[in-house]
Amino acid sequence: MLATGPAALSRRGVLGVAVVGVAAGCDLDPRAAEPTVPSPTAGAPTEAGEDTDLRLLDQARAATEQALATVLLVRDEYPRLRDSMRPLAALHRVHATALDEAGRPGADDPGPVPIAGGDPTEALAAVRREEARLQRRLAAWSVQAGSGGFAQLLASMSAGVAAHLVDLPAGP
Amino acid sequence: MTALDALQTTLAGEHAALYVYGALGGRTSASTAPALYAALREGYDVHRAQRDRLSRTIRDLGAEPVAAAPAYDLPEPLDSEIDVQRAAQDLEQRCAATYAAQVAQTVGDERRWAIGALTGAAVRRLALGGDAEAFPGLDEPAVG
Repeated sequence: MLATGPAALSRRGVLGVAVVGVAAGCDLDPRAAEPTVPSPTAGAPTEAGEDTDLRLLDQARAATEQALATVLLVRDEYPRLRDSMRPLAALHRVHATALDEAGRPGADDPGPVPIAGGDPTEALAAVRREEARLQRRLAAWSVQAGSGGFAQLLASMSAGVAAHLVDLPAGP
Repeated sequence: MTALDALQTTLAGEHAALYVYGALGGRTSASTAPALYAALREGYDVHRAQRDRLSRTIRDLGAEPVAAAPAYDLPEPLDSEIDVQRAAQDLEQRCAATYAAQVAQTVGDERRWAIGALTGAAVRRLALGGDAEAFPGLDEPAVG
């Protein structure tokens, strides 16, 4: 059984007040029936940790929106890359939704990263760089998070970006 | 649950993963399914290294690492290459869930390592023919 996911997260979840999931080991593991869930207080951050998590939430939301904006720009400007951008756009949208459900919606969405015009190879490379940067930042924010549940969400998002990055085609 | 409990749970999962990877490799031909065989071999090696690392960490914390069970139930069926591939994908998905749980239960370097292991499981699943997931290790909404 997999862990309860982002839909179970709430602002309270980010703050570590709520139980955020039924985690699971491999169910081939004879001990798998044992709960591996954080207790309601196990991942609870301190007040300072709550402030940190809210700051991280805003940063993660902004970074996700920026990555989405870059992907949409490339999708619209480079028809040959349209199909390649579709999974990434979907990924960032569900990530943004999960972050919205976890806390406050993003404020002003940042724009895309600048991309030299005309060359789809360079555009794809720019997307790769942006996605790799997002993946690293999500992982780093996960390490900093005070709430275990929020750390779990950020780590999962980072892993999701990594997997989609591997799935990107080598060229336009 | 303490961080040590989480590490022990993850170690128990790695024992199971190694057993299953070994069984899947034994059902796969290096000559007729070289890509799958190579992916299984890589997965086995990674999980063995992760098992060893977890065992060392647990010992460093002054505890005795949980032992492997004599045997584990294998997924069924395993009659074809596709069966083996699906079983390996499923195994990595479950390992991702185990490491996601460890992320929630640990801090600092141990959390950082668990994030790396979670990411590795998500990426390895692709090499086994799986799809890229939006939320590896967590239940996820559909990505349309």
